[in-house]
Amino acid sequence: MNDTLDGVDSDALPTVRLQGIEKRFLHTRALGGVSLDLGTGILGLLGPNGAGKTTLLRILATVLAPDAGEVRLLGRDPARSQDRLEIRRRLGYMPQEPGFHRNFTAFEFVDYVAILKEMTNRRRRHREVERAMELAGLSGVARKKIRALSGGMRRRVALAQSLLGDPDLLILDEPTAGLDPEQRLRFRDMVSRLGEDRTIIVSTHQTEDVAALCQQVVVMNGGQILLRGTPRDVAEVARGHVWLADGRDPRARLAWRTAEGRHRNIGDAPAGAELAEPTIEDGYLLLVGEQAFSEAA
Amino acid sequence: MALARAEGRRLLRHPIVLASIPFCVGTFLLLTWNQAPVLSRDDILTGLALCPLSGAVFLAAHLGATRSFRHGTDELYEGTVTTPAQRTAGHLLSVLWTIGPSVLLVVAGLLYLVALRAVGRPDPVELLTGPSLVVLGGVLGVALARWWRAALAGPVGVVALAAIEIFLVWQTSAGRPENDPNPVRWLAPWVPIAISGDPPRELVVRPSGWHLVFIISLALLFGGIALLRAGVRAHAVAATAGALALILVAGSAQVRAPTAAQRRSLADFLVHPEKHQVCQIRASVRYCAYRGYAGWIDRWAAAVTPVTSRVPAPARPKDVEIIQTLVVYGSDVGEADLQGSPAASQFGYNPTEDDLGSAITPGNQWGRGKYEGRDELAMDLIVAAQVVGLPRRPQDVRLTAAEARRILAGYEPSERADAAKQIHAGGAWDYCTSVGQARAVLALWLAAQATSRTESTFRGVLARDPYGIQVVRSGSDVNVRNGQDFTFGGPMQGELATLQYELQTFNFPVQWSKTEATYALQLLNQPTARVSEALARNWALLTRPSTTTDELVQVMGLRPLPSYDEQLREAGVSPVHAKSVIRNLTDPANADPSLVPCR
Repeated sequence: MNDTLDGVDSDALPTVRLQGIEKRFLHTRALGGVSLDLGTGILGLLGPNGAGKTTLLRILATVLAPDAGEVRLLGRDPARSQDRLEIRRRLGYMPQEPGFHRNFTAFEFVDYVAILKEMTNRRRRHREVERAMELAGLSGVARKKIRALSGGMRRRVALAQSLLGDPDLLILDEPTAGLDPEQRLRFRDMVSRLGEDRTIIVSTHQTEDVAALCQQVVVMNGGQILLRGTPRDVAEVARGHVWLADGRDPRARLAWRTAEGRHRNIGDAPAGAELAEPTIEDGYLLLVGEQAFSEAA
Repeated sequence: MALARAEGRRLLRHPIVLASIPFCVGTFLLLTWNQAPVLSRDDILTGLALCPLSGAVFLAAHLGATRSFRHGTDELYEGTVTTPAQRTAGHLLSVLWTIGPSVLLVVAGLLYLVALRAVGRPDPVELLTGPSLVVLGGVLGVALARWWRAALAGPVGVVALAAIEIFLVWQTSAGRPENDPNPVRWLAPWVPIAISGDPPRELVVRPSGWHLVFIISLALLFGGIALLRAGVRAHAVAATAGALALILVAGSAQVRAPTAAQRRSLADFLVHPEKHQVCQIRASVRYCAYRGYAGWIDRWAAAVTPVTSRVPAPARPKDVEIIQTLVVYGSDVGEADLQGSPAASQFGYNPTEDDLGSAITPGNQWGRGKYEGRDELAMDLIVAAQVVGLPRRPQDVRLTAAEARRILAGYEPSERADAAKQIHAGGAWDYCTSVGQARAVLALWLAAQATSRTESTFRGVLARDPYGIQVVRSGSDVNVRNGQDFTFGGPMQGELATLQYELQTFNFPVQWSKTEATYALQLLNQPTARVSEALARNWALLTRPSTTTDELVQVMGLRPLPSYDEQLREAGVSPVHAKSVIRNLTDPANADPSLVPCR
């Protein structure tokens, strides 16, 4: 079955179609047979470190070729150079660690990427750069050197460059890392608006972002997709496994004290426990198991 | 192209590139500072002057091409439409943006020289060499970035390029004859006119056209290699192969030694100078200069006319000639090419044998600023010596039998027989001393008063090496009483005697003494018109060889210089020491046996 993000237009050509994607780095299997179809909307990619998220995003961004499997992006095959160029023309990519030219101003950096995106007309390109920077909330610092910008501001510069050319497919790897709460809210607002008419794939550790933004979630671990569904589907995984108690339950796999002073326990609930409404975070933690628990701890 | 434009702009704004421009300007100013500009020579220097820019563009282009690696943006750029090959091509093309500023610098240099009354015509090909070196530097920087991406690679590359330049130009020619330097030097990025000596551009075969093609081909070759490395195939292979072919053609053409026909053509400048020179008569003096230097006649006349015009009209000489003679030393013209031309005597390095006639023969260099004053004074000293009747050439200095015997006595017995072939009664001698002769004072004054520059040069020379005893002060302890802390620099004014070499004239025999020079300085301190009038009144007497300096001092009312005795007493030297010093100074046995009086 071909799922689309909105789950409505199942007959339309998906923006992203992956079939049995495999990727190894020496003896490490990064992806083991990933299949996925995506249409318009925002997809959240959740998984612990080493789950294969970044590898998957790099394949989607056409900067990495899979060892096996079939990739179709925007209806084209990135293995073919002409198709790859066409895909890149309609693709925005924000890597996990984009790197910056510290002596460039924010404007110069985004402008430079715009040039690399074949925006040759100087006047039109500058207008587009200004638009992207405004979207990313960077208008006030356009002429500042990147070395003078905070980490959060730099993430926004990276975001701005990915928005150039109003891409049909936007791939954002950890876009909210380093952003303060206000910036994260602004980010959510911007991405949710952009996601109305294009495909956005957001890799993140922030389950709240996924819950707030994404119509669909993919939970990965060990190079495989563990679950594909809505944020509610992820939360439902934990239904019956989350309970509140006055103290930390020794049978719980993970427990923490809430703001109300009670303990939220996750695991196999004991009989008679006061079950709680599960969240996406609870479901994610149960899905990915010990690794996520240790990361969360 | 948009990428090339953006990178080009960044390249030009790069701090290293901007910082190199003052170095280029400084290098050019330094190279041309002391010389009256000659466009046919200084056009070559524009290439050297742009070498700092070339090195800077090399560094900046390397940093630009490795920027994405060093700053970790490779992955981001990978996701854009532009391929690594296109990015490499962009960096390579960005180097072309340096052509404009390079050409501007060259044009500014030329305009500067023109403003300084430059002579000659520049060779457009030579002028393009500098900008092409800048482009080559940039291309090499981008190419290096395809192999070695560390920031350190740039400086290492620049040092390597400088080493290649020095090795090819200077080391490969080391130990070879000046007139036959290694043609391999033409494989260097910039090639000077000569490895040694100061030959004029006119006497050197420069395959500058082929060299320009060679440099451009090198840029194409390394650009092609960089593109190959970046993944471009068909076009890069074609460009690289084409560039390689061009390099072979241009490289082999430029390292070819000058042909006999080329050498003969150069030699014609010397064998038949009349075909290549323009002559003018100014104030009874005949001036001849090669066409490329015709503008210098004004400079020469400006220096010489104030000398001849001070000579009373009846005594004014009619035979003073200033005829330019190009310096052969270090050029591509060999002795055999000259076939008995007077210029061939330059190869003998023996002024007594030269055949250049009595004309004054400035070479292909003329100073600027204070150095113009030195050249003017050198020329004026020869002219003035000629008008007061002092010998003009070594051939005019004839040894007496006693002088020949005295000189020969200084030789080792085993060498004496050989030396006697040249040193004999009636034979010519390299130099003579004008010490004690009134006409020497006259000549020195005539030369010194000619222009403000000659006067200032003359005063400077005497200030550096004045007449008489100098007390040497060593720290605060001035102990002249034991006779060890004073010196006497010798009676002759050495700097005045060597000025002629700066004029590239090697056959003027007159040596000047400090005594006559100091009396000339006294005359210089008096109003010129009054001195001129007095000299005119006494011209016949003062130019007579037998008239002594002491007589001139009386006639002109000069203040006699203190004797050694007076100077030593003034310096506080004890009479006992003074006596011994004077004995040493005046003992004929201590005199230079090779000094013969000018007659």
